[in-house]
Amino acid sequence: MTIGVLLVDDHTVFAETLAAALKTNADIAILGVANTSTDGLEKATALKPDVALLDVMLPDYDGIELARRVRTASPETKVVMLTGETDPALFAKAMAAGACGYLIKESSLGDVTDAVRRAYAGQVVVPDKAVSRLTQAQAPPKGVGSDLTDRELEVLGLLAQGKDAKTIAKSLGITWHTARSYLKTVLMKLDAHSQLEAVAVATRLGIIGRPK
Amino acid sequence: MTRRPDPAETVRTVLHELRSRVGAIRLAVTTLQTNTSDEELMKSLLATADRETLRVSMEMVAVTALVTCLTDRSAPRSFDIGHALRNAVTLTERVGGRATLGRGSKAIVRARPRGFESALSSLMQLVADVDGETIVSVSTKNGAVTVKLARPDGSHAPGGSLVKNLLAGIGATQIPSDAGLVFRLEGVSP
Repeated sequence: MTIGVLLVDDHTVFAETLAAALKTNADIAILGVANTSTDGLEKATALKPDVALLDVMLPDYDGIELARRVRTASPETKVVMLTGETDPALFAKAMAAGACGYLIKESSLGDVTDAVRRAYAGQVVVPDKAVSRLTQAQAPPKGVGSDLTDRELEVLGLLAQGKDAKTIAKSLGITWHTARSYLKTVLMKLDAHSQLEAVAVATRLGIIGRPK
Repeated sequence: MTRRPDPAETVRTVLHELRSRVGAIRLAVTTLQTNTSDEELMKSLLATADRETLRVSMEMVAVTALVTCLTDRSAPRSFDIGHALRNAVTLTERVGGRATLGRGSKAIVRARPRGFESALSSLMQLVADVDGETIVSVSTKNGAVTVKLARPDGSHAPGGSLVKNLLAGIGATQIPSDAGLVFRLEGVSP
């Protein structure tokens, strides 16, 4: 099994170094490298990569809009933002645009490789270090998430640890369907569009502690 | 005089570039730590880490000059660009860079002086890059002063937000050119 990856970053040295570094993994193949959103979308449409690593700040239009367009043009492609931007608002926008992960540029090769593999496996990807930089402590909510039950909080806590529905079901001794149902309720109560966004919202609002 | 950029947005943009360089260094180092046996890749990653570290260092000095320019609230005044360029060349040499003041003419420009020479020095270093040299020349025409910073081989000068913002910071207007970094400053007729 080889995971096909597309890189979109306007910083040539970073993109070239990342491509060379990722190639050292036998299970990862670099399908293409683009320096603009326009080129990135063309390559994503043509190559249908398994995972697209996108910068946010790109010269023509931003990486969040690109994430949205890539998800439309190639729905099977998992989008992970890889950027120097640590603004929590951008993080939330990326999640709403369909990204399943958010990495900061100072990540190690191990972090990026792990993110590619986990995104490919359908998991939510935000390394612990990134979460602490991307979320900001705010006053407890008066509305959003305040009606989460103890069981839903347990599910949320496991989600924050990077566990998927199957693992959550196993951990709590419930069926996969029940775990999925809890996850849907958690997303609805947090007004989140993805599991990653749910973790981000819950962490930012202080509903759960920052993942260890 | 061109309008100066918003400091917060400028710093955000410039830091984005710096983070990309730091990111490339971290990727190179952490890949080397995986004990890759590909000798060519190892050499290339070591060269990347070395070069990008020098560039980050150079760009951090440039950011300092940029912030000095952006926070200068004083009124523009007239001064000799030749004198400012000579001081900028000295600053460049002091940090190990190479710049030569070539063809030039005595000209008076109107600009904010604070950070001006440091910004010029940073522009010289960015054009020269890590191990190159910058040739500086000045010309005047129709009341405007044009400065050209070029590599001896005439290769393309760098772009990027740092160069763009440094130029805006000193009130210069960039003139598109394939043979170096060319910009115009408001001149004062003798």
